[in-house]
Amino acid sequence: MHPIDPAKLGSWFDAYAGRLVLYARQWLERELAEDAVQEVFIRLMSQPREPDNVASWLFRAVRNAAISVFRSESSRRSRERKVAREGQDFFESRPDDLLDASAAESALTQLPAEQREVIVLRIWGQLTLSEISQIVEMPISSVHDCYRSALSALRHVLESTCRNIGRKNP
Amino acid sequence: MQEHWQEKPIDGADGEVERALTALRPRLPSIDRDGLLFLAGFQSARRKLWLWRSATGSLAAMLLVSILVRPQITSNSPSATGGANNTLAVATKPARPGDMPLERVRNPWVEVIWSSASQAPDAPPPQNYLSARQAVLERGLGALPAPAERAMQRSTIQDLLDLRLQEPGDPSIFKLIRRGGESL
Repeated sequence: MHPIDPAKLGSWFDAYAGRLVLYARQWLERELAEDAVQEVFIRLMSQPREPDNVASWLFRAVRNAAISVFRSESSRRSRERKVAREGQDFFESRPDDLLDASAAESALTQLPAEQREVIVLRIWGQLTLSEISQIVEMPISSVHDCYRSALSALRHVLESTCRNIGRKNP
Repeated sequence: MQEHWQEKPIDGADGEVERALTALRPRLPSIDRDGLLFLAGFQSARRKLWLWRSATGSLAAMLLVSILVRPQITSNSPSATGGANNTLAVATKPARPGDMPLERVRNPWVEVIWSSASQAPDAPPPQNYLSARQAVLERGLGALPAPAERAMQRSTIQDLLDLRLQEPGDPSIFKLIRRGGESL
């Protein structure tokens, strides 16, 4: 058994921390999501050996931690309050982006939770459909269908947003 | 057969949405990276430390128990019963009335040793160490054999010479030595 090299933990943090927080944000407010991600990294360091698929392990652990926190009644109430007043929190806003960050976030929040989770894991988690099916415990074909449906739904939402903006600013 | 969920790029309008979304970067967390790495290392080391502490503690407890709890032996030494078959009876547990049986161990070396050591109290002085030890344990220091007479005598050079010259082969040599070499 080889313990995990602290240098590796640093590189994993740089590579995955932002994506993991975005994933945990599907259930939790920002502070709690960051706490959950932090706990997962500490737990990773305590593992007797390095997981075979670190990315998959991290996303699965964050999912379990976030759902566990979300299930507590107080955090749920807190989340409802926070989500209502928070915005522009998911992505960095850059001028050269093809999509406006706030519009993308707004479109994402309109998706059903299942589709949103698959989209986040696939696009920003950069996981394969097989890995996603193991994390969300769904058949791979269902994950694929869910992903395609989510993309279509996002396109419709974004198109309607653009149309609305065009009407307001002719 | 290729399933429809194979990892293939998505074409069309949905593909463009996918690429546009991929270009977005998740917001960086406000987690203190160095603090997290330190905490992770600290927690990991503390778990290992706990492992060592528990192992050391259990070993110390076992040592303490082994020191404090000793098996009670009813007699100071095993008794050489002799018995019918020259066997040594060894009690492996504290003997209680009616607590039987004793384990009988047959060992030829033990038989030889105890047959030479077991002598009656009024037996002649013991001839070897084991029998002397046994006699002293049973009868005290008085059971020790008296030292040999010759060993008690303090030898001098003159005595040694006398012993050698008690019956000299040549009387002239004896006379010569008695006179201290005067004739020379």
